[in-house]
Amino acid sequence: MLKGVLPLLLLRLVGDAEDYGYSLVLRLHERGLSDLTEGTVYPALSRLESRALLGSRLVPSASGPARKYYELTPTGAEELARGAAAWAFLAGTVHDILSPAMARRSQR
Amino acid sequence: MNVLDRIRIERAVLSYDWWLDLRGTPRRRRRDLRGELRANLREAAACSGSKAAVAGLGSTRQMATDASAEDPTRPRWTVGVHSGLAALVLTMFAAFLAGLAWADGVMSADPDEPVRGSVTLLPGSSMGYEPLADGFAVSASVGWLPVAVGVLVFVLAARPWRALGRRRSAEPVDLG
Repeated sequence: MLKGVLPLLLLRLVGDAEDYGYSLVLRLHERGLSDLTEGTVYPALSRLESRALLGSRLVPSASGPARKYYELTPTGAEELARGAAAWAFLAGTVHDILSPAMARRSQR
Repeated sequence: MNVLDRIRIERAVLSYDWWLDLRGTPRRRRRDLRGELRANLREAAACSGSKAAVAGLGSTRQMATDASAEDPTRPRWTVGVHSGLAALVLTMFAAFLAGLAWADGVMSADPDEPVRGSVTLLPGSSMGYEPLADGFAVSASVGWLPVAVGVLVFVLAARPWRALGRRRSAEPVDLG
């Protein structure tokens, strides 16, 4: 996965709904990113929290220790908007560059 | 969740904590990260089993590297305690083996009188052998070396002098 994409995805998912680490991993897997491991996602969440892009609160769980739910902070929302715009630009540019080449290759 | 699952999870959590400590992560932050990882691992273990849950983490060292920026100014107390205890136990074990070898040598000689001695490589140690009417008695004291080695390894691994440096840099500077 490209550097910086995972934090962007996590900001988006947490922005949609407050969630905790393992549940976020499952949501990423459901979206098709089954190669992403817990060992990649948990540190990324910690980093986002350290940068104050995510806030957190502990919620008691009936099945075990309290879960740490993450929520998007205003700074995180700004970062998400910036990151989403940068990604849209990059994706569009890459698509423009690749498309003619792919079209030529398919014509041969 | 059975005992084996809990042991597997705690082992991963402690390993993670070890690497976080090695990177100078503050104690409170480490406690938060430990609690979070434990909760996540239990959730994952309930879904896919503890073995798969722990395997999903990959390297806990890499996780610690990715989770926190390194702070080379903090002492590493947990690393120091673990390393010091390991050194103490290993040295005690070596002293025990040396004592056994000494006692074995004395018993082979089968002396009629009590024998006292020490192991050259264990300064401060003392061994005793006393023949009795119905057998023999052996006594041993390993001396101060194992404790000294444990303390030395603790200090070298924990690097407590970093705390002094931090305190000094935190003191206000008198500009008057």
